[in-house]
Amino acid sequence: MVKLGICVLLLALALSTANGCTNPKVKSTTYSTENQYFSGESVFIAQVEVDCNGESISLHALVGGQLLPVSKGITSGSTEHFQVSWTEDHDRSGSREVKFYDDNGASSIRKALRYGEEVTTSPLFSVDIKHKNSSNEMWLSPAFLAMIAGLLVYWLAYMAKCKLQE
Amino acid sequence: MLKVLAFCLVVGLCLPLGHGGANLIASKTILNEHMVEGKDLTIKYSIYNVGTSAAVNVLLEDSSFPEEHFVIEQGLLTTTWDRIQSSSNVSHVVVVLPREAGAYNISWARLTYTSDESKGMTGFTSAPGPVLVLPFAEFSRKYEGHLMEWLAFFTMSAPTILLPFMLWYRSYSKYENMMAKKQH
Repeated sequence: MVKLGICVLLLALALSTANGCTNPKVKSTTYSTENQYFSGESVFIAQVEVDCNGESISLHALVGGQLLPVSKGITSGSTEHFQVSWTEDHDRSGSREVKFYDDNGASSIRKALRYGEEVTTSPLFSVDIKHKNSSNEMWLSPAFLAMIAGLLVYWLAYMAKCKLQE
Repeated sequence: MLKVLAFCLVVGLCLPLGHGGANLIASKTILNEHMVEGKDLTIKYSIYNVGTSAAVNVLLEDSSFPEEHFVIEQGLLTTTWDRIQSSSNVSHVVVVLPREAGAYNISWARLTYTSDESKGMTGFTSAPGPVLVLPFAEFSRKYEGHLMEWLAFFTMSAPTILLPFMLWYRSYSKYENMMAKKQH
C-alpha cells in the first residue's frame, strides 16, 4: 500500500514537471495595422520564438480577458515558433498586452473565467503590441481646402470690386 | 406512399453516419481594399469546426505566396493547432508584401487534421482568386491626398494673383491716405 502510494506520488511529480517550463528564452516580434487603407480591420499579430531547453510545450494566450488559441510553426532545433493573431474593428489606439500560459496555467484561467473570478495566475511571459490607429487620408482633403481657399480669394476680390463701384 | 416512406427512412438512417466527427470549414480572405506593391497585404484565415467532436493536430499550409513574389512581413504560412473544439473557431492572420505590381492568383490553403477514431481528413480554405497589385505611383495618383501637388499649384499660381493685388493695394492705400489727409 505504501509502495503504491509512493508510486502514485512519484508519478504525480513526474507529470507535474513534465510540461513545466520555468525559464524559457523568448524572442518576440509584433505587428499591428498602421494604415487603415491597407486593411479593413485592425490586425494584431504576436510571433514568439521560445527555447525551453529543448522541451516541447503548448502555449495559450490571454488577451483582454479572453483565452485565444496559439498556433505552432515548424520547429527548428530547440526553438519553437508560436503565433497568436486576432482582428478588431478600427476603434482603439493603445497597446494590447498578450500574456502567454502553458497548459496548466490555461486550465486554471479557464476555471477562473468560468466562475467570473479574477485571474491570479502569473504568465510564463508576456508581449506588448503597440497600436496606433491611423488613416492614410487626411481629416480634410487638400482638394476641399483648395476649393475653400479659391472661393475666399474670389469673395475678397468681389467685395473690393463692389466697393470701388459704389 | 410506402416507397416514399422507405426512401425517407433510408435517407434518415444514412445522414447521421456521414456527419459524425470533426469537420473543419475555413475561409481565406484578403482584408485590403487596395493592393499596392511594397505595401502590406493582410490575409485572414478563419477556421470553424462544425463537426461534433474536436479536430486534433490541425495543420494549415499555404503555398500561394512564393518567396520570389512576396516578402513575409509577419505571420506563419505553415502552422498547427493542437485541437479545435467542436462548435468553436480560430482565426489566423498573415501579412505579406508583394515585391512587384501585377496580376496574381491567390489560391486556397490546405488543412490537414485528425478527426475522432484517428481518421485523417483534408480540407481546403476558400480562394480569394485573381488580384491586381497596383504600382505605387498609380495608387498614389488615384487615391492619395495630393497635398504636395496642391501646395505646388498655389506656389506657382501665387505670382499671377499676388502681383496685381500688390499693384492695386499700393495705389489703394495711397488713395485712402490722400482722402484721409483731404478730410482733415
